[in-house]
Amino acid sequence: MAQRLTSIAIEYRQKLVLLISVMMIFFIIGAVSLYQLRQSITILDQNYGTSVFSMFQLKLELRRFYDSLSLYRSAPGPQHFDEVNKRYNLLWSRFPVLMEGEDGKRLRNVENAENTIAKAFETVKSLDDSIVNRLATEPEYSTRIQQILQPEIDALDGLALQNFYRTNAIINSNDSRVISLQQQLILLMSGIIFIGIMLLLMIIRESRLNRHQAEHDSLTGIPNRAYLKREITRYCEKKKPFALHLIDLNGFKDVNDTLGHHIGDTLLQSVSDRLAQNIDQLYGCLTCRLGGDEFAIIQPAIRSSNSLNIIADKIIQLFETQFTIDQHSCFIGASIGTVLYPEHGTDVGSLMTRADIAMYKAKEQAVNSRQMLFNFDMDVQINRRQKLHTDLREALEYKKLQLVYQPIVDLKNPRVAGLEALLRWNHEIYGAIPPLEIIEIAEKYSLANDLGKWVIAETCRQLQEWRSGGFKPLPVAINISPSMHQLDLAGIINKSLEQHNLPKGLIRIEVTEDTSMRILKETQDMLPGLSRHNISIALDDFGTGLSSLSHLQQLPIQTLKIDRSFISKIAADHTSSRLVKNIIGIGHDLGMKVVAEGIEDIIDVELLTAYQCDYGQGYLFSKPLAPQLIPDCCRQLEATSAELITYVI
Amino acid sequence: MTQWIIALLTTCTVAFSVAAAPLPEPEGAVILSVTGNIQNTQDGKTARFDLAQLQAFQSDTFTLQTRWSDDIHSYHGPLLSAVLDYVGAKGEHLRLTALNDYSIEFDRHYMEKYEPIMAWSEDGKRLSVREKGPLWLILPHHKFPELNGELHTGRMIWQLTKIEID
Repeated sequence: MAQRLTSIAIEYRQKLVLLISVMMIFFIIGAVSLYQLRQSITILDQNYGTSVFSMFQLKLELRRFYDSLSLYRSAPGPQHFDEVNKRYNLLWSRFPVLMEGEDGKRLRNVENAENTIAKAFETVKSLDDSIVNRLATEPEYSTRIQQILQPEIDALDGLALQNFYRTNAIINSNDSRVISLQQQLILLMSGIIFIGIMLLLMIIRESRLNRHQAEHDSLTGIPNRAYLKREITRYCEKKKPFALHLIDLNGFKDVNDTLGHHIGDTLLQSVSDRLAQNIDQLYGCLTCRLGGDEFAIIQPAIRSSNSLNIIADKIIQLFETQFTIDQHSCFIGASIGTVLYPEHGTDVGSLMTRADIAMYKAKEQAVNSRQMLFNFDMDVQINRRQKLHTDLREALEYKKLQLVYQPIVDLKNPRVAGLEALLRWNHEIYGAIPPLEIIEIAEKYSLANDLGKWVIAETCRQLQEWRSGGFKPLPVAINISPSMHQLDLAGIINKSLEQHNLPKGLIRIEVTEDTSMRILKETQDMLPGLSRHNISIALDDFGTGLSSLSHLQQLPIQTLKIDRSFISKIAADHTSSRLVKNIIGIGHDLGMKVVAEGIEDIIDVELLTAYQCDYGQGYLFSKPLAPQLIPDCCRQLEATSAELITYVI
Repeated sequence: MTQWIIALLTTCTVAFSVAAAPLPEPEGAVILSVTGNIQNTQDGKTARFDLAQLQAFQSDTFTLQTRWSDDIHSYHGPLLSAVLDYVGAKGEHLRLTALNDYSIEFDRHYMEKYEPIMAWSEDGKRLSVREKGPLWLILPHHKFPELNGELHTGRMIWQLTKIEID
């Protein structure tokens, strides 16, 4: 397990490193691409200025001026002289733009350009006087001007070309740089696409892994509940018969508790290995772990009920061999609940639930291992339980429950000492429901408190009714169930008595040993609290269950009720009679009163009286009776018991 | 039929009397001629202007640095659109020509947004031919940054003398 975790951690770290590297490369490539694009844009955005154009314009004007001079010389006249002047002015105007502004700035980068232009401009400016003053009268002077200009023409021609080539070279080199940048960009983009694909693959792999993890058990590595449900759904859709075996290990909890979780986990791995190797591989089944010590096996392709048994037997057989974990021998069994598609259900929910029911049935009967095939009788039981649950709630609400009362007779004086209230529920469908089942359902579905409160209220009401009917109220013992420790029982009882104007002490509590121990576990103070509030406690069914004499020491009880199983045998069985005699003795020694339950024979009364038993209860005196019959019964009993007791004495 | 001819003649007469108001002759040296699809001329073909006439139009001053200069200067002159309106220009396309026959072209709607001027003075001093005069078309690229590109500044023709409209 630890190794597994370490390897998972290493794998996780490797994945993280890979992911970080890939992301780093991605970001680096992205950043470089952006930088390169930016560079390309800068290059493409560059303007090369108009200096080439301006230089050629200058050359053009120079040439035109030069030609105008030639024209004027060959045909002197004011018109051609004006033309010379105009050309001269235009030529003049071309110089400043090459010395200032953006064109000037660019030309300054060309070697010697500034000087060449300045010198030429100076030369042109120097002609101003001679053109105005000399050329008008001396057309031949134009030759001289042309001679003066010639070196400048040559120099400017050279400069214009030089500037042109230079600008061209910049353009060309920029073009080639842009091209190489774009080519690099192609590489980078390919890189990005590659990384994108890698990331995609990683995501796909990861999601596959996740899916595998989501559908597999981390401890055993076999499919889990989610996977099983998906498979069952898939099989249901195929509409071909298959079986589902639900396996719950017997005795696993003990292994876990005694040998520790480490051994428990290893045992679960061994079980899953054994199942997978022997069932899955040999019979083409699918073993899943549902969690805890629950496994499930899907058995596809059911041909006969025999093939169902083969698998079930095989599973049971697998558990017959002990598991050896770290030199510990572990014997565990399996309770197997089997359902068949489509007989027992056509969807995951019903199949799983019914397999569960069958599995619990198997568990009830299991010694070591046991398999049960689901049948609908099982479902009926479950349905009954569910129906009773909903109906109990309703019964409580609509007062469909009844209390019957059984007299408790004083064996020493001819009188009825009290009554025990017993719960009755006559269900519309299922008839009389045993009180134990009512309590069990109430406990299971959190109705116990409501039930308890109802019993108290109903008893008080009944006592009041009897009193108004002229029947003197007798103490009534009511039974309480384990979860009633949550209630302020003393408060409720006394308040209820008060409401009905009844004296304290009329309600007594009967509690079984098991219940009392459970209550003690939860709340130390509840049972002593009852005594303090003048509510007497009787220990019911004494001698059955996990009886321990130490209970008598721990519990604040005033009365001991000896279970009917002892009483019924006292006449015939010497041991029973000795036991009863001694229980009575112990009870008395501890200051308790003793009640004998289940008296059915006059001989019992004889013996019990001889043993000094205080009270008796049973069919000999009266069966539990509806409340309206109690007053008469009690009167009659007091009359007859006087006779009885007299007779016995 | 007669009625038709009379109606047509009347229309023509009215149109002619509106269109043919001759422009005053320039008194000084002509520095700008406008030709083409225009209504108001001196001789039926050309509208000619001396400096004094141009100074009479609605004018503007742009203080900016052109790309041919190292400094900021103030340029002043009439709005090109004012002159075109005055000559009753109908065309949508303009061709502007300089003294050295360099010319540029643009559509008339270009002016509606930018309202360029034909500067005749720089920093209050009249532009000579040597200083890119007599007229220099200046775009207000100090107000409209989009005019700073070479495409637009290339339209700032100097030594402007002729405008043709069609």
